[in-house]
Amino acid sequence: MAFPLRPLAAAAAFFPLSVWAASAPPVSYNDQIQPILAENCFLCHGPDSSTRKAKLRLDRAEFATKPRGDGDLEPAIVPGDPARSPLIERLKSKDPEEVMPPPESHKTVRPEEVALLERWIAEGARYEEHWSFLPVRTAAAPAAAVGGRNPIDAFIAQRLEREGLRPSAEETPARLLRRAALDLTGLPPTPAELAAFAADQAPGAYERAVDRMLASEPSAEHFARQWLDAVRYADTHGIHIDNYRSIWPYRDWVIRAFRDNMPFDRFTVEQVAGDLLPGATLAQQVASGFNRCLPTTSEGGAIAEEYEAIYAKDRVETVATVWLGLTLGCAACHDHKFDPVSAKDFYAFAAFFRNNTMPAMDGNRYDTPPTLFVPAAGDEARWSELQALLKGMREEEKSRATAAEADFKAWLDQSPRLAVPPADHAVRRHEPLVAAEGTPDAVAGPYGLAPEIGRADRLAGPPVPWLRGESSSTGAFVRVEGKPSGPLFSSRSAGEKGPGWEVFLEEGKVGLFIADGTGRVQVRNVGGALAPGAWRHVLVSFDTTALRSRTVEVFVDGKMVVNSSVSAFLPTDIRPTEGLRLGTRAGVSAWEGITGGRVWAQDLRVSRRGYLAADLKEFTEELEAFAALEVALAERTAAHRRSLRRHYLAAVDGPALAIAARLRPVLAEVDGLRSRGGLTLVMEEKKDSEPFAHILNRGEYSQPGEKVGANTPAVLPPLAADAPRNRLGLARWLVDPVNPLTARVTMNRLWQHLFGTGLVESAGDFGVTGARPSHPELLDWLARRFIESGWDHRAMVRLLVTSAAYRQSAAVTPALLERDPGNRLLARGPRFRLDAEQIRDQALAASGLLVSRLGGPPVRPYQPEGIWEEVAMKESTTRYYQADTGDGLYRRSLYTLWKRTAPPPAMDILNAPSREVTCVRRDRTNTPLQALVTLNDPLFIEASRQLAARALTGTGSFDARLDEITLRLLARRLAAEERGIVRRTLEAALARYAREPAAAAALLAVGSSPVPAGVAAAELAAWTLVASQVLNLDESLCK
Amino acid sequence: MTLLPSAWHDAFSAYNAAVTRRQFFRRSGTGLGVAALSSLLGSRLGAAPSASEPWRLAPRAKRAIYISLIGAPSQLDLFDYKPGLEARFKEDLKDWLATQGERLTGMTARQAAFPLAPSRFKFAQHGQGGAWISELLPYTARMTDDLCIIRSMQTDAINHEPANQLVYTGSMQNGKASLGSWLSYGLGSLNQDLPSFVVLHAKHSSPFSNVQAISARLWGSGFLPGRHAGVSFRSAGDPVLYLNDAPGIPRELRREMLDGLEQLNRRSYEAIGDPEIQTRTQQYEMAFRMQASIPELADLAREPEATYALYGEEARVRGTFASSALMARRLVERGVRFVQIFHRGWDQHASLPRDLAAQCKDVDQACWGLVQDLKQRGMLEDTLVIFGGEFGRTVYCQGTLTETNYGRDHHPRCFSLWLAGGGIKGGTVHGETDEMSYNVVRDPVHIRDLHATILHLMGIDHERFGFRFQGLDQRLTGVVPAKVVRGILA
Repeated sequence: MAFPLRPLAAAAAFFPLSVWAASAPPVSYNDQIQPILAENCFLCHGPDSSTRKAKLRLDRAEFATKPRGDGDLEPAIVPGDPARSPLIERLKSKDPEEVMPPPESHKTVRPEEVALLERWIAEGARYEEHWSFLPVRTAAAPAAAVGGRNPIDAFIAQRLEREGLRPSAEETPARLLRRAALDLTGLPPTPAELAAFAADQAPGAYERAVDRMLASEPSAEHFARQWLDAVRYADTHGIHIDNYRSIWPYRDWVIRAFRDNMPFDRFTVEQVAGDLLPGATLAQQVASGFNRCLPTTSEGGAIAEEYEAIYAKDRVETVATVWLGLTLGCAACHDHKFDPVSAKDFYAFAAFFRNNTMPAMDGNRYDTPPTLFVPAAGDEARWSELQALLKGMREEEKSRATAAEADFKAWLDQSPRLAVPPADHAVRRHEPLVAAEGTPDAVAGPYGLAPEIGRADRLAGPPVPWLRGESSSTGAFVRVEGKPSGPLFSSRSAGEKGPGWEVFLEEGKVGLFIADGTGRVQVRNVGGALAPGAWRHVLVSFDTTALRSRTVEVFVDGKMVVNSSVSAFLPTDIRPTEGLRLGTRAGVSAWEGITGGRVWAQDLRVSRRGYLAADLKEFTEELEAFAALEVALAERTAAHRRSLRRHYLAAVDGPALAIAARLRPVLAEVDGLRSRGGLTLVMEEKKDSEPFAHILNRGEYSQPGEKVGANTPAVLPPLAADAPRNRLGLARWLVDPVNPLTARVTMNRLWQHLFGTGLVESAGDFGVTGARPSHPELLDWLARRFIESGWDHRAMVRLLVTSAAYRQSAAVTPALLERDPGNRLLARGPRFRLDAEQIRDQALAASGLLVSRLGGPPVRPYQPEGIWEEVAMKESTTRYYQADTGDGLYRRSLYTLWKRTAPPPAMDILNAPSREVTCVRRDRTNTPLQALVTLNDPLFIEASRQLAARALTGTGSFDARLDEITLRLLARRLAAEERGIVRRTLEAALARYAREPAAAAALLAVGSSPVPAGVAAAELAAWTLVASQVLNLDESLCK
Repeated sequence: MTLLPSAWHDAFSAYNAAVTRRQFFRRSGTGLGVAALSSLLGSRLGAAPSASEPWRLAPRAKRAIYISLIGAPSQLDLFDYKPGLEARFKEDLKDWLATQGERLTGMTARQAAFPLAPSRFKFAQHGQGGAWISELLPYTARMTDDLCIIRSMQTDAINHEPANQLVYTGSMQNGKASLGSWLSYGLGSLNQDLPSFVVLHAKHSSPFSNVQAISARLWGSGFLPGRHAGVSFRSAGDPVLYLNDAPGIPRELRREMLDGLEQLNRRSYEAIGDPEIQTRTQQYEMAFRMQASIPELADLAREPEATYALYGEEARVRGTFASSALMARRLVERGVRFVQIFHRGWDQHASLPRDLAAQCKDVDQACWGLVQDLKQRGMLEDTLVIFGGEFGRTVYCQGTLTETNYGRDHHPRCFSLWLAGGGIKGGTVHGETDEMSYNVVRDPVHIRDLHATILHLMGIDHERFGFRFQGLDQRLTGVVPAKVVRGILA
């Protein structure tokens, strides 16, 4: 079987040479000539001035047909006269010194291509602007085609007719519904939906089903997920330490935008420049997080200017690819080789993104500024109320503080003692530890007599666990004498492996012990000394909510003295089984508590918040007040009075305490809301400067050249005269109806999503070397319609999926396959493998495991061990992966935590992009590693088991059970022959599992969802294998 | 509906696979498209260069092993001997550095002084060529006559992330294809039961080593078709992700299940005619074969005792560098085209004497063992082995310099690496640096030159070997001219 070993240039694939010769319509520059020139000539004779040879530029008529240089060189093309055109002469030359392209380029122009060029010159060498830069045409659709359902079909039919092909028959209703459901919601139809669809015999049943699906939340999630590829959304910074970043509220904004069918122009403006909109709402600011989705670094040696240039380039490439379908990034080092885009155009475009307040180094923080707090859906109103309430109460506090001055003086005059301040809202346990008068060995502490510890077992409370995703701190005032050794705060078992944690003293130094009970976490670090002879405040803070690299720190008087070392991001929870003790350790006799010195303690507080050094003033100031009291009234300084006043208001003053008491539940509620909502990274423009950039010579940050203001590429329609020269101006220009690219590019991506390949195959490159549209008039018609609909994305989706072209059967004959292997002509319906997320989500949905909930922080489903550790740095907050328990295992895949340097492996294997750069077209391979995922990933095994359990709930026959499975995955019942095949698998499995109950038990133990009671294990295991078989069918994996 | 007589299936499927691929490889002038076409059509592709692939050269090596030392080992303490520096201990290089015009990283740029830190390790000459090698690499020293040491490597990057991307993908930008994926794309696999590009992650043993991050982009396929991405063989759990059948699925049952799957898929194919269905069935069959071949590959039980005399006792412990080196030999022996071993922990900003010694101890014997093993098996002549990091280190000390302790910062202008095996002239030293090991003074070799040379040895003309993406012929060696380093070729 023969096929050309040397494929034609891109366009030629659609415009076979034979067609050109046969009817001889005028030669088209765009369709026929430009591809030849771009392929063979533009590298040296194109837009890039720096590599141009012989002062010859062939990409535009004004250069190619006019004298070159200073007018002393003859034009390369003489319109109407190929024989006198040096271009042709050079192409035909046999002299290796003369011939073009030169031999070292390894390019050759074939004789039929030269002939075409000659004809074109003979016909006048008419140049055209590159097709995608021409305005979107407003041509009407051709006359409706027989069997067509909407104007799309007329365009498709026109081309099919030209090719002598006929469209295929419509797909069967159930299979069509499945295709539409997977395309519109990313999930398969349920048996109930299939039944309802089958029952709806009225005209328009399909359209109604489409409308219902498009209006659903799963549909919003599905379209959002695709958008996240384009904007390279991920949950980590992406470079070097690759820590977690909090930007999921932006992801949720995208979902809601699709749910609300936000017009695409608004969708664009809010993301590119939501922060710059007058009176920007919270949501619009969140949307500007689009600009923050890029990978960032904080690598030790990184140079800020270098990364600022990299970030700007990344943003230019993303916007240009997603909205304009242009590879502007190619012009970062030199003028574009093929498209009329200069380096100056690139840097003028980059300038839009170089005037913001984001630091070049992300600081490895989850909250690299600028950020915003976003309350959870439904909390927004209460959040605002609480903010107002808080503001009011803070003012009350302030005015009471002023008004209390007289009472404060009166208190001072009474020679007072300090009172124990009431516990704040986060305190879980509070032991004042004020000893009764006459207690032996007690000494004076801030709040009266303080007991000595370490002499007897002193249980201070229940075990204090340190759990991932939470915070916890334990602190008290402590005074030592000598160089004591022994436990200070201890919530651990006696053995070296714990489990538990402890702050201990070792010859007067402060130490920290952490162990998870398995040996995986085993920390014993000793830090600075606890100076004897005075009261100090000691506090251990465990904080994973701040997602800093260092999780556990021990502070003395607000200064960190020891921590869990850099490798502290704990891979597991620390769950002590022993209660919190002071001065002693569980399982160790009391006299072994403190040795080598003595220790007293007072005011133990266990809190559910974490502390940074700066937060600890409330304790150190208490110590200052305590010291101030010792100073005679007359000798007290202003600082002494300040600390005493602070104490008075915090612990003594009746009205202030009353306000604080009312404040506590409010703060508790704020904390609650805060834990449900999230911080998100947003964009913020510098207020004191105009956007500008320097042209960087060869793209090197260290070689700045000419300074340029923000502007759009010269080859495209200009920014409106009154448009602001900033991102807002850019955003509006992107969706200005005169922009020839945005609507075309967006419709093309939608086409690609539904039909597998775009009308322009290179969805990210509409430039000169990109592919040509297979149906140029259709693309323009769609783009025009999209603009005129008010950028109504959902209406366009509906239009596409209700076309006859979409509804065709995907069955293909060998002849058609040979003729159109990529199905670009649409003589059959689309059929291709589902995306990674669809495959996983389908398994979740079909099995009933899916937990449907819109939005929220990222989740951690099952992942093989070691995926993160293998690549991560010790300091990384994404070094250890611990799967969630419960709902987090079964959410839709777009909520999975996306670590850029080690993406979720099953998704990665199934061609999900790494999200490091914009991706508008996924690869779609077919590999054995993919087979292993769907065969063996625990999620797919668990889903098969649940699907089997569903099938076995009825008392049904073999057939009824099998239908339960295949209806959910394939939307059809199997034919008799197919049933026979499945039955053989089932019987083999039944026999095996009956013989080997241990194997059945092992299979059923996969996954954390419960195994239904009252089902025979062998039967459930055998049906699990059957469900897995169906789930692995090509038909299940394809739409 | 049956559209096809069953006898057509195979031919049809092969044809379609080719057509589908042609879309990937659509290309004219440089003949890219044909690159992998022949492999598609089922040939096992030993090496037979085809006239229709203009980039093909006569290969000197059929396969390669790249030992990637992540973090950048110090050339000054391993291969680039500078005896003159001892006398200049602690000399402040601040003024001299100002004349050099090199960027300093944010880690040392603000140091008050830049004291010169001579290596505290002893060097000696080895082999017939008399190459200087540090005492940290005693086993490597024994095989000097097999090695070509390049002392004049250069890079453009001064930090790990971009530098690693440059070495392993040819570009500091994201989204490019890795060296291994280029080789896989061009040369295909020699064993249809194994991936053509395998990545091994070797653990470093010292808890003190300063570890740098790596990421999947270093072995990704970028714009090349995804199946050319490196497949990680893992040192814990399944050797290949999801390789092992779920517990409770015995092998015979898996076979039954796949037989049923094949029959059901075949019916789909007969009804729908989409050749991807047949391809999928073939991939499931290959997965099944991999389930047998990979555990056999990973099982070292039948390695003779002599193996451990070569690679060292640690080769018995899964995940060590030594066991990775052994695994690399087993992989190339079975036809894997390109194996890359990542070993982290080479970033000695501080405590270099202690930490570099520990890192060297991890790799030294096993590298020697690997080269000897390949030689004994007659494979060294057509297996290329490369050993190196992503940049060099500074002659001045980072942090406090004492008689016994120092650290070194990143240095892009020169570093050392070695190559051995297929097509390499053993016993040679290429290139030279100045007395400070700061600038290359003879025969500079840029990363892109190294790439051009590796491709050349593997039978690929780097200038003609590309892939059309975003309108450009993407090449591993990029747009700046690169040259094959002729001086190191046998």
